[in-house]
Amino acid sequence: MRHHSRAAERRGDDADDLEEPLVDTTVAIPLRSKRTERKHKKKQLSTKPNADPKSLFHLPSELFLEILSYLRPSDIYALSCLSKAVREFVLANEIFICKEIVSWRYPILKKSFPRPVSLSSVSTTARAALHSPARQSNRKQASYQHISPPHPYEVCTCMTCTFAWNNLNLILDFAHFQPKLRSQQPIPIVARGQHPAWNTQLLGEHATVVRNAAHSPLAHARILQHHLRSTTLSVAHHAANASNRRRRFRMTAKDEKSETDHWLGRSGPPSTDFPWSRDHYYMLEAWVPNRGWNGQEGRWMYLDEAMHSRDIEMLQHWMGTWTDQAQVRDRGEGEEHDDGRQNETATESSAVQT
Amino acid sequence: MAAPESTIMLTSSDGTDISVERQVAERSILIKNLLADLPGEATTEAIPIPNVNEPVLRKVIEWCDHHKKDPPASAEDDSDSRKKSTDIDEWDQKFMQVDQEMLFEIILAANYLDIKALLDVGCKTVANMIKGKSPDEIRKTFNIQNDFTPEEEDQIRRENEWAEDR
Repeated sequence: MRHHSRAAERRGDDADDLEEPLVDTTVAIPLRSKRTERKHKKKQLSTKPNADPKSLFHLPSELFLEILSYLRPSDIYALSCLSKAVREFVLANEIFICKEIVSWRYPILKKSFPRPVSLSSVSTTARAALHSPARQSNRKQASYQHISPPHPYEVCTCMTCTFAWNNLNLILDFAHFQPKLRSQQPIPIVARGQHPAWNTQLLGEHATVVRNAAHSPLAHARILQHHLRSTTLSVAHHAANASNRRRRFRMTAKDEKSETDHWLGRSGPPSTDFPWSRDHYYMLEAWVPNRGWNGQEGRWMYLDEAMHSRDIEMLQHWMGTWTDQAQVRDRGEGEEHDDGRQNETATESSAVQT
Repeated sequence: MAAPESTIMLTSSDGTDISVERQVAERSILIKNLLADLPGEATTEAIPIPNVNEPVLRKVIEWCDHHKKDPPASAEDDSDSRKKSTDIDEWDQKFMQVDQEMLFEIILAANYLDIKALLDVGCKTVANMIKGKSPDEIRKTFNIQNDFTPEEEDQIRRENEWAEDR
């Protein structure tokens, strides 16, 4: 299409041949409407290669969950790093997945190593009892070099939860030194009263994991996996030493390969003394607390799961007693104070009279 | 098409008729219940299996044929999680050496036909393909796209570092 200048026509300019050829610079107007957008979207979808309907993540969720139930907690962690969708699925089904895995892999360790209760799950009245100045002043916190104490404003510090906290931290510390123990290298000794930076950092890392485990069943399951591995390695290591004839749990090669804790259900030495220092790690084989062997029934009896609730009830009861005692004490101090003031006044008045 | 009394006929989703020994087909609880509900003369008719195509159905029948003498799974076996393990029988391991598409098809078919033992073998096989692998290795195995930003990935990796297999 050629355009002629109207002004040139009007001027009757006959120098048409000198004009530069006109270039068409018009551009197609982009079509913008909802209908066009829908059409465009449909076209895009039809040209996009179809996602394979027979891939792992296209299986029905109940089948995918069934597959996950055969994995170990560390594998679930690996899966949660694959993609956003898989992570979302794993986190949304965390409780179910962990229940399935723990029920057949770690049924014994689960009972021996309960989770400390997160403070957010404790009632307000129970919290008041836990944090009462009277309790805090009476409470004697054991100070270990391999375990950092629980923070009273993060997890419940009733007796059951404190033991649970200590035991889970112990698992992580024992697992941390496994390479040294298995290669028969000494564990670094921390002198009494010393707090080297590496140890403070290590205990801090373990405390973070256990704090997370108070909320996350997956973190708890992973800690149990750590402990089964440490225990299996330790028992195998000590059993290989012919001169070490201490009583121990019978562990076959099949048990070792099974990656389950069923063999810890057999009779074996009870775990009574808490390994209060890292020196105990050298001879520690199977630390499975919170249970006792019932000789008559020939099985292990475990501590009741309701221990935390009972501790809290007891604490609330004591809280009342402490408050009463404190009131009596305050009243006594007040009366003594008043008596003192009266005496002082009497002395003063007698002095004035004199 | 009629079949001899000890055999039944199954029709796959793509319309192929496959003759199967009744004992073999009854490894499937779905078919077993269906046959129990049908009157005697109706069992000579072909049973349509609309969700399973011919190659997968033949593969499933092959597994059922090998396991036809196995004792039927009891309700106790299903509920007792203590009996769960990741061990797979040697024959089953070889049987499951198929491409991923076929493997997932077998799992879907076992689920549809209600063959618990085959479903377990399939799920265990997939679980063993994941077990002990790093996220990158799992992505490669199953051809999964990593859609995390480098920052997100780094944060997740730091959070999960303690939980890695060592």
